[in-house]
Amino acid sequence: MSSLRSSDLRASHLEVEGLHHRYGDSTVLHGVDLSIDAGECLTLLGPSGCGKTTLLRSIAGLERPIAGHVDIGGEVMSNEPAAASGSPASGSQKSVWVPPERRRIGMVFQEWALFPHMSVADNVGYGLSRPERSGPMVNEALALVGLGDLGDRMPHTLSGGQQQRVALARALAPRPRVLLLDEPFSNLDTSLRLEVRTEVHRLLHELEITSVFVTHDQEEAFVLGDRVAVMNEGEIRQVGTPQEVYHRPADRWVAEFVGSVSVLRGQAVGGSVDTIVGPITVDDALTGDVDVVVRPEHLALAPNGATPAVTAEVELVEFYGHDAMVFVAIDGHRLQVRTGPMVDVKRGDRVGVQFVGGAASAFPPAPAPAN
Amino acid sequence: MGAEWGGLAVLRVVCGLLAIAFSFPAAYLVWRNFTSDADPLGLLFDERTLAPLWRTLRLAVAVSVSAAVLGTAVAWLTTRTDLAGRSIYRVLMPIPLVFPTFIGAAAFIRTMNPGGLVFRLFESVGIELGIELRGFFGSWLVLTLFTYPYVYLPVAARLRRLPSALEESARVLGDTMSQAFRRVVLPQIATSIAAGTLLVFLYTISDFGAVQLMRYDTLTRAIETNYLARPPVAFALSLMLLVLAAVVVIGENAMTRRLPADAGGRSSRTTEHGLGRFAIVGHLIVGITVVLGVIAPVAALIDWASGSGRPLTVDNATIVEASLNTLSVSVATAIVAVLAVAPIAFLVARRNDRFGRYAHAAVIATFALPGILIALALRFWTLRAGAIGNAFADTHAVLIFAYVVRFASLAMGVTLVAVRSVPDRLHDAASMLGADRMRRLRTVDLPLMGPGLLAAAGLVLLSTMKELPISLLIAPLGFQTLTTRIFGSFQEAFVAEAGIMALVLVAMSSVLTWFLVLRRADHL
Repeated sequence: MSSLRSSDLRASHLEVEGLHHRYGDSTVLHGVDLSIDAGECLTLLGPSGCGKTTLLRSIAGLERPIAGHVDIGGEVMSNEPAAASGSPASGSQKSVWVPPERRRIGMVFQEWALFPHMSVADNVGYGLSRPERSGPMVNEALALVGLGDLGDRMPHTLSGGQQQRVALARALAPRPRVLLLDEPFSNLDTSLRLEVRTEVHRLLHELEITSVFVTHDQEEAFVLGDRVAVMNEGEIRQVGTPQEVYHRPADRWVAEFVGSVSVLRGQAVGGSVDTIVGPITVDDALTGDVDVVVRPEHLALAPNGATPAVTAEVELVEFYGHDAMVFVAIDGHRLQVRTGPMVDVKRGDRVGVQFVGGAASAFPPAPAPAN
Repeated sequence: MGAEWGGLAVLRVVCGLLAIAFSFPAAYLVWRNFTSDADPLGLLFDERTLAPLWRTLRLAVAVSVSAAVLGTAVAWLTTRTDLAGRSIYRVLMPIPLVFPTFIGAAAFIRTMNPGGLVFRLFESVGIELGIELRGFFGSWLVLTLFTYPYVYLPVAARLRRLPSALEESARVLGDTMSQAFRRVVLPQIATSIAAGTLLVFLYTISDFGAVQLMRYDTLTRAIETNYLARPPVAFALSLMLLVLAAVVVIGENAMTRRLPADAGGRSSRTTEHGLGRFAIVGHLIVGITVVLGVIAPVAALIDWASGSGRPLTVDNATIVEASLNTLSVSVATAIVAVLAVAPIAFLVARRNDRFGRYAHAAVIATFALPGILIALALRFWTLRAGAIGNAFADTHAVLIFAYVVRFASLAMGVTLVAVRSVPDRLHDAASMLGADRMRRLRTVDLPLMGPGLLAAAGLVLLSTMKELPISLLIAPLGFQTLTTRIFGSFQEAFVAEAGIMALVLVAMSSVLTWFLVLRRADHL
């Protein structure tokens, strides 16, 4: 057990308000607000190009936003008053800019960015003061990530997983107030990625450090995040616990981006929609045409002998090991049904399909159905 | 961020000044053409300018064609065939690059003159050698032999990387070996041939030493003969040379753009064509090239240095002084050149800044500027610029400035690569760990860019050591470098000192060439 522990890290809360950023003519952040509690891990989930990395770099101070406010532990890191309309709620009109090297933020980069000409120990000690470097802090940080004996090695002699851990140790060694991680696992192959993910998960919990983790991988976001912020086109579409985001998506885009859905068109009357798989309970404020989005695990193949709500034809079966997905068609509508690992249907079979969830999310219909 | 913008402004000003400095010699020559009292247009179409222009063109075209053919043939023979001993040939082929052409010319002329090695060989079998190697043929032979590596190096590198699958596909689709070469291989190496040939052409039109010794009146030689007695003629000749260089570079750019893009990929296995009974032809081509381009000049220099059988009168002090002069002025030039291109490379690579790009263009353009023009411009400027000119006339500062303008373009590319070799994310990482700008420069940039900057300095050092016309025209009075000593000695009398100095220079240049050019030839 290393002596670098949560009590060493003065975890701070992080506030982001009204952040706007632009590259040339294209706006990449449209007024982003975020509030992260001390010790919390927030994952930023979104497709590539949604602005999540720009948001992270704006927090770090590597990008200078054109408007908005960043605050760490009550200290203003950057403040740019909005140019014309509507100043940020609590932001003063004074422009403030703290350069990245004075923010005391740790960051793990996508390609890790280890200094190729320095040993592992020199990399880890880079953010420490000269006396600290010769003290135990370097070895503590290395021990924390399980690389205690590799300090003398050069980065290129390490495996990908080891380099990733050196990057993490380097970011943690100076006891940052906030840790930012920019898709740190994207350079690892799948099996290693799962292993490292669990290690990092455990470490973030043990250290109770405030962290922001950027990813485009929904599973990674759900596993690591106390809360998930879903981003698209420079805006945050929803912030909530992984469960909230998955089960109660804020809009149809979030519903479709986070996990698989089948979309069923129908008429909402009194909190219920009559769909091709039968009536489904929805929010009773909805009326008229709606699209009901149904998760695959809320549909089931009717057991033999039972009276199915409707019969469908099996188009494809994908077996994953721990479970399976059956793609079925009813009158040209395609649905995805998750089944257990003992799937016994095959392409061309006719099966019964029923809705087994309690309620589902529904949204006003999109101009063109997604599937 | 405020400090950073301040820094950017300073860098832009520096780059602006550098752009002006690098454009100055050419601009000055153009300006002088139209402000001297003589009739500029009349002079441009005068026999005294048109005849040297014609000779320059003739020589440059002839040397370019022969160097392109020889360089390409030798590259193909040593990389794509089963020619015996090809790995040894591959090491030998680039060696002629280490000889400054005037030393090569001197070696050839000397060895065939009475007392020379070849002359004595013929004499020993009772033949009085009456051939004198002079004029067009001599210039063509020497320049071809010592410039073909400019074609050989990039073409051989390209051939080694060219995937065999391309050629094999052509063969499977029904091409004969020569059809496949013409239809598939040649288009793929065309850009490399064109790039190498451009260097040969530019080298030939700017060469002064070889044509001077061969007494072939090209533009450079005519400029040297006229600049003291008839300055307006020299200026008109300079303008011709300047325009010729510009036309060739622009033309090459336009042509290369139409050539097909190189297919990428490094091939692990290359086809080796069986030469069969043509192997003897291959050996003849490569062998004669080695004998004439490597063995003959080395033997001639050794014979020259050992006094060719005559009593030796060697003044060691002269040799040491000239060597030290060459070394000190070359090192100074290399350092100044790298310091000059570094801010430009930084602005271009890091900021993609407009000012940086202008300065970059100004530096790159000077690679086509013959040294004698820089020398001429600065020589006249120091004579005419009143007090400032007087202060600079005959100083090391002007000499180093001239060298820098001439050779900084060699450092530009390597320095750009060095600056780009430090990825932004390393800066970001260092910032996040609390390092300010100075610490980032000291701990991240300099250590990572070090080898690249050193190579850039080395390239400038190598070229400056071998430089002749600038050294001849504007070195301070009494400041003799190895090249000016050797050149002077050759013209005065055949003293052994000059031979020794030539060997010293070739040895120094060999070591540097090995480290800088040959080891990196794969990346050309």
